[in-house]
Amino acid sequence: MISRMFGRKRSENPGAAISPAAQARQPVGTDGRQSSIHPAVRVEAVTKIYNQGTFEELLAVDDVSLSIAQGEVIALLGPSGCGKSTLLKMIGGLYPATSGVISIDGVDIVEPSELTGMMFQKPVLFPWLKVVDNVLLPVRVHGAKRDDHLDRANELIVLAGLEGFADRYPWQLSGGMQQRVAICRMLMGDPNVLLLDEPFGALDEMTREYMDAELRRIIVQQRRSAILVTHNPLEAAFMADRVVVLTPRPGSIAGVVDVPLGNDRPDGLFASDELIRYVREVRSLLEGGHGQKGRPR
Amino acid sequence: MKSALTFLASILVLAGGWEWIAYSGGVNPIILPPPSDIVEALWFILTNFSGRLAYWKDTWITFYEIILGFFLGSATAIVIGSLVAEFQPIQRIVIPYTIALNSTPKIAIAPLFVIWFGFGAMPKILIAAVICFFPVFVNTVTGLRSTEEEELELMASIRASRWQTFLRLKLPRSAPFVFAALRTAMAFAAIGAVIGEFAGASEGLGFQIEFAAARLETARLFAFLVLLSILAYALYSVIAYAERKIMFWTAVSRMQRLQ
Repeated sequence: MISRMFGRKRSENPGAAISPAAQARQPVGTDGRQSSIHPAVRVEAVTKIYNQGTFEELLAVDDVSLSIAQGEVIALLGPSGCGKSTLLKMIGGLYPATSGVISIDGVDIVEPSELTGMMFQKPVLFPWLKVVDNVLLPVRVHGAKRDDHLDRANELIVLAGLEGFADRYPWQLSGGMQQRVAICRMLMGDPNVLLLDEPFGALDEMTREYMDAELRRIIVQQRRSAILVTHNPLEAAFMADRVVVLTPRPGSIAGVVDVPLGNDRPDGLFASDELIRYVREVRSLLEGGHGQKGRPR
Repeated sequence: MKSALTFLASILVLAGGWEWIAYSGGVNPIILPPPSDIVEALWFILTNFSGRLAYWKDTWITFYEIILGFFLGSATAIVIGSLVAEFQPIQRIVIPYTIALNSTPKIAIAPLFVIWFGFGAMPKILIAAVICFFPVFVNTVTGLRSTEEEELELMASIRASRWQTFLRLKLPRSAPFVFAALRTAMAFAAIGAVIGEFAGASEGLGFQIEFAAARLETARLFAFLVLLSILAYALYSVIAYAERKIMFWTAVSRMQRLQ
């Protein structure tokens, strides 16, 4: 409920930045977050056909329906080329859906919305901007003054564990730290729904698990909803409250695995038997998908 | 420091050898004047400040012909290049003309510019500008299109306008390409100014070179050549310096800073 209130407040007064620290001070309930009546994201019967009407027509996403509750984290898991990234980018308003409806907080998505923030496989930082100016980019492109948002940018930098690095340049940071900057930039526009397109796919295994735990902590602390695209079952089960498994192309939903492990997920959880149980469930769905398509093993 | 010393030593050896060949007889000083004569001529040029022999004025004239031609040509190229990169219809209109312009040997345009604009600085500036235009134009278009798909998606996801995307992403991304072209353009501008002076002038370093050649004052001709080279090199260095300062984020600049 609290996050719904914040959501409404944001839309009434889009100029006012809500301090993440103020939100962070609110105690995080384990059940409160998901008790919202309305889903944050609705995806209804969405289909994507590339190059429609040409000989290169390609059905990428086939009749997918999903709904994501406020404060919920879901993972879209599937083999490469299954259209999971396409689906995510449609939710982000970057591509139009061929048919079907996508809405966020009751607003139909036809173009990129201030309700969503994106993170990509690469950090996509501008090397000519300092860390803090990269973080400020989403407000700067809308004509906001640097000084007006500097405090909030610095709060986010501290939140993401980058204290003391605000005036460095991206190329002076490691890959993991660069993705931390990307997290800050994503949060700068104060989005309600975070769209994560294999955000740590380019990092090594150890760093990736650590960054997963960090990102999960930030999402929960900030009371956002998130959709994570990944092809890694372990990462999906660790990050998500629900793992949505997609079939190979054209992507449709093969099944959903609930991962009721609560909000407190330290990176030590990666080695736990509990998590592995869900990973196994996810894997069997993935392989079932292969089986149905008659793909040779 | 060590490389500078090596360079200086090589110059001394080269000049010594040249001097020896020139003095050993067999070579007419009109063909190959000894370096000592060239240095003497250069000294004479640099130490006369007034009257008919004030060659500083010629240097100054050629200098501003180069500079104005460079800025005019480069600025036009960056503006038109930006329009071409951003707007497809403009590209279709402009590209055939730029290809036609580039195919024409620019030296051949010089007499026409003299007819149109007279014997003053204007035709020289314009020839320099025309020669500068093409490399900067091509690299501006290439540079503005060198943005990565994910960078454009990022700008779209934060709802950046087309202008903001141009200003904050494409323009900085194009800078390494544009600066590479500007370095070339600076050398081209010097060529353009001198060609313009060859085509018809009464002052300037190009004019003085032609004048010295006509009177077979080869040592003086060499001295003006040296002066022109120093001028062109100084201008090139300014661009190279600006490039390093402005594009501090590129690998080359970072390496140079480490040294």
